[in-house]
This record gives sequence, structure tokens and C-alpha cells, in this order.
Amino acid sequence: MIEAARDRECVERAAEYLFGLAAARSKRRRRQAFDVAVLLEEFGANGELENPFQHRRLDGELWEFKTKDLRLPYYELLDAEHGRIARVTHVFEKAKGKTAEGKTPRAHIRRGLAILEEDRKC
Amino acid sequence: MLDGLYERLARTPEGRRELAAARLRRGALNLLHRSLKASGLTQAEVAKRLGIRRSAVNQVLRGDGNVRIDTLAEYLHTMGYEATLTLVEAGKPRQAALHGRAREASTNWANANAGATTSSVSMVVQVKNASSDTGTGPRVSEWRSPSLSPPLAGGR
Repeated sequence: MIEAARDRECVERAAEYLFGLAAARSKRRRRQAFDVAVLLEEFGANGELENPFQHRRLDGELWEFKTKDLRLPYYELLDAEHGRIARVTHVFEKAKGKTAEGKTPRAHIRRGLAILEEDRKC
Repeated sequence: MLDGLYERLARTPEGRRELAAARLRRGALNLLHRSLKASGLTQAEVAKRLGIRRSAVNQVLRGDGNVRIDTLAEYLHTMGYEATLTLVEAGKPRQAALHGRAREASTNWANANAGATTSSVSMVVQVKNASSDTGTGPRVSEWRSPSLSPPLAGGR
């Protein structure tokens, strides 16, 4: 199961972002939502992704889903009723430029870790 | 709950169509990664065989799977494989995924009911070993799923 984590205001930032994309006027942005939807579907069904470039560890318990344009940090919980639950902390567009290639900005890792902690309290 | 994202996108015919396209792109990309892993080749070796730069191969492998059919076929064949297309009824892949069979669903619905009842259908890709005509490449039965799952965090 895949859920959106809640921040200190109990807002699901990832859901907010993705549902915003789904309703976007721009076809390019809507397409990003479609790509994320099928990625999450694969992960939800299999518990893993076949493409190693779309999944990696960021820091500690924080992992990341990657599509061509988007990054989705998440962490996992084990729930007695639902089993594994991936909770996506937030979503952001990948950094542009050669030097940033493949790197996740430290600020987003910190934000992900902060939402992880807030989510556990919320 | 993010599981609702798919349902929200699938509310309209256009949305369902776009989801089918996204699924096919994803299937193509997964095939490329599966064949690369199964072939044991590096990106540099694939690039050399194709006569292109390694960065071009990397770009395809890190892309969204929206590659030309010719490109997909060339990459797969270089790695010792080829793909075939299978027609299934629209909506079947989603049903399969909901039943926890997404991997099978993204590559091979040969056993699914292919008798489409509407004009709206999805195409899916099935990969086959091309070693019979190249003499290279591992057998299909040698494929193994990569284990990429993160360790589970503590219970809540």
C-alpha cells in the first residue's frame, strides 16, 4: 500500500502535489502524473520496481522513487493490518543541469526526513 | 491515500487512454532493464555494439520508455532478445496489477483473455530470447527479479 505522509500541519504534501499535477492544464505535467501512477501501481503490486534507476536509498530510512522528471522521497512502515506501507513524504521536480545530474538536493532530503518524523507524530 | 491517484486519473476516457500509454512506456523501459540485466552486458558494451555513445544508452535507460519501436527492437536484439506485442482488453492490466501481478502484467498477458469487446485496447510487450538467431544471450528461464526492496521500518 502506498500513502502520502502528513507534515506537522497534517497535510499530505505528496497527494496535494500529485493531484495538482493530475488536474494541470499542461499535458507535460499531466503526463508526469500518469507516469507516477503506473510506477506506484507496480510498486504497490510487487513491493519493488524492476527498473533500478527508479528506486534508491537517500538517507537512513528515507528512500526515493524516481521518474524521468519527478522525485518522490518515501519511507516504509509495517502495519499489522495492511503489511508494508510506503509513505511518500513529498514530491519535487528533479534538479536540472549537468552538475545536479543524479543528485538529490540536500534540502529535499532534510525535508523528507523532517516530514517522516512529523508523520509519525501526526 | 496515493492509491487513489490512479482512480482519479482514470475517471475520464482521455485519462484511461493516457494511463494505457504510460503503462506501455513503462513496460518498454522495464524490458530494456530486464534484458540488460539478463544479458550481463554493461551500458558501454551495449553502446559499442550499437555504435553509439554510452551517454545515449544511459539516456534511454533513464528515460520514460517513450522510445521508437525501432530503437527498442535494436537495443533488445543487441542484448540478445526481441519483443513481441500482445493485444489485451483495455482495463485488464489494471485488474492484473490490483491482483498483485503487475510484473507479469507489464510483460506478458498471454494467458489473459485477449478477446477485446470494445475498440479500445492496450498493447503490451512480451520479451523473447533472440539467442536462436544470434547464438548469444541467456535463456528466458534464467531471468530473475532484482531485489530492490528497502528494509522495513519498525511497526507503528
